[in-house]
Amino acid sequence: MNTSALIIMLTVWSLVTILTIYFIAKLLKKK
Amino acid sequence: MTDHSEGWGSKIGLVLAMAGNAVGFGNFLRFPIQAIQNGGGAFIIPYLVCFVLLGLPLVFVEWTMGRWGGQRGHHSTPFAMEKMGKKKIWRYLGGFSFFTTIGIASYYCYLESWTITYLYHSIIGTFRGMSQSEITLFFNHYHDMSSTHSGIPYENVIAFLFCLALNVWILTRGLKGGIEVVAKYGIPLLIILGIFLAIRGVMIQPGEVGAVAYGYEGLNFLWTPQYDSLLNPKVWLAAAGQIFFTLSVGLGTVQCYASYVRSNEDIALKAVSTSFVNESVEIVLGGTILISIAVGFFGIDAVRDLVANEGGFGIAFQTMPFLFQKFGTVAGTFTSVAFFGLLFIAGITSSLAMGSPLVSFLQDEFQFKKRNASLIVGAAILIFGLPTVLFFKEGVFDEYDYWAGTVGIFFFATLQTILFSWVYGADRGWKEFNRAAEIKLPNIFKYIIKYITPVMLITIFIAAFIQPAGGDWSVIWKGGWELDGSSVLGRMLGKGSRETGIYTTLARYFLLGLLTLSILAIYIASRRKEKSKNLKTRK
Repeated sequence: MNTSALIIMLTVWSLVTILTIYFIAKLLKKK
Repeated sequence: MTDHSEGWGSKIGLVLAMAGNAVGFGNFLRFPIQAIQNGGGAFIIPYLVCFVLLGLPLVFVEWTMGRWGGQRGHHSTPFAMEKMGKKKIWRYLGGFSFFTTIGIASYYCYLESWTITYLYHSIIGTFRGMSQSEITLFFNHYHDMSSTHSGIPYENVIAFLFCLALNVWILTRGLKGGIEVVAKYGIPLLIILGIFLAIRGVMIQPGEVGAVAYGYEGLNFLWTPQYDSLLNPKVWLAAAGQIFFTLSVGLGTVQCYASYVRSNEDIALKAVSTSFVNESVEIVLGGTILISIAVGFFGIDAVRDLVANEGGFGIAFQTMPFLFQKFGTVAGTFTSVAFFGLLFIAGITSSLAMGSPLVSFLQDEFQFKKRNASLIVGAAILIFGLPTVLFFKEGVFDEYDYWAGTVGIFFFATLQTILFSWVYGADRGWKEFNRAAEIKLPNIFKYIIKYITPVMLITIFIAAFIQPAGGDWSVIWKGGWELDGSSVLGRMLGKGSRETGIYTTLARYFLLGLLTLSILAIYIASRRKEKSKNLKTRK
């Protein structure tokens, strides 16, 4: 796989997934 | 107006229901096709920019309007918009919500019913041993009222009625006992099925069960950056359209669900959470499953040709059952059930949301019981949906998708943004959005909502209205402007390839009828309100 494509894909995937988990965790933690 | 005391059972239930509203066919079928049609990597940058500048701001606007309206007893847009705009005209403009939701639900339910049919045929093994052309024939015969390929007469009508009845039944169960239950079980299951399918797709290797390429070559195509695309308006239009479709903005469904939250509930965190759940599902799973499996078995050039010739939602139904067979009898059946099961969950969580605004309106303004309101909504979808079933091949389905599912939502979203930013006031609106919020969102969004989002929406709307042939915008300086058949004006003037048929004209009359009925319902509700107000004054 093309290196720049791989870097962009993994960056976007990580960013979106981490933010999703962060927001959901924050929501669940909130009383 | 009545205060039917309904609410969500839990915050996670609300977030999953709202995510279910957003996660739909657009995530798994439309996104990969849009990406392929717009040059793969060329699409992703404008898509992400549109998510931040258009998608998120509109989600914030709709959540705010929803909670604001709910506190005043309005769980649908017409009277909430009137109170926000302080002018009667807004109540009728708010009626566009019924036009878009019922108009889209009318063809969406039919699309959803395909997944039920394909699930059924995957389980009983109908597709086993069928060639690619036979699978395509199956799809074509499915919509043909005069013939059947499965031995079940009028199978498409039966599946549509079953699907509609299921939706109405769940709607009658209410928010907590119906929609929330479906979302609580459905969305986690959808994510598990999606992860399974995505991994299976990426793992495909050439030579394995007839594959011609690595599955990940599809990802390579989707993610290779093409910076010149940033200057192509056609790609921007497609990216903006996808963001609208995927986040389910411009419908009134977000407002309806948000109107049932408590007045002191944090909506900022919920709005970003649901948007990001949707984006994860779309970018990570939706961008992987269809592309990797199709590229693995057909090769990138064949997939590009297939999308160019077929396009639309039907492509997965015409190819996937054939490809899944290659995995073997048991694995193939399991994968096929997983794929169509995933699509069914994605579809039903969205169609339930589309039925909700009108149900709430009938409860609020006409004091209907939930059951009766749901039955009326079901009847409306049946009346307006049957033409898409009976005349699918004649283009009625596409006509609904275009006017209600594309132009309608764009127009309604533009109206809402103007109301929020310039009539109600962006400062007040932003303050209202952040009320009771634990999360601190960057203030820059206030300015984006006020200036950038409306300008982008209006620009895109004008561009879509007069788009030149083939999306070639260089005619601006070269001259020789010719309208594209898919532009709004081009469709109005009958420049498209399928514009002249009596069925597309019929579809337009039906949609016009739907709009008229929406406005009429609001007018009658207004009269009732005035009468009851007069009676109270006399007393």
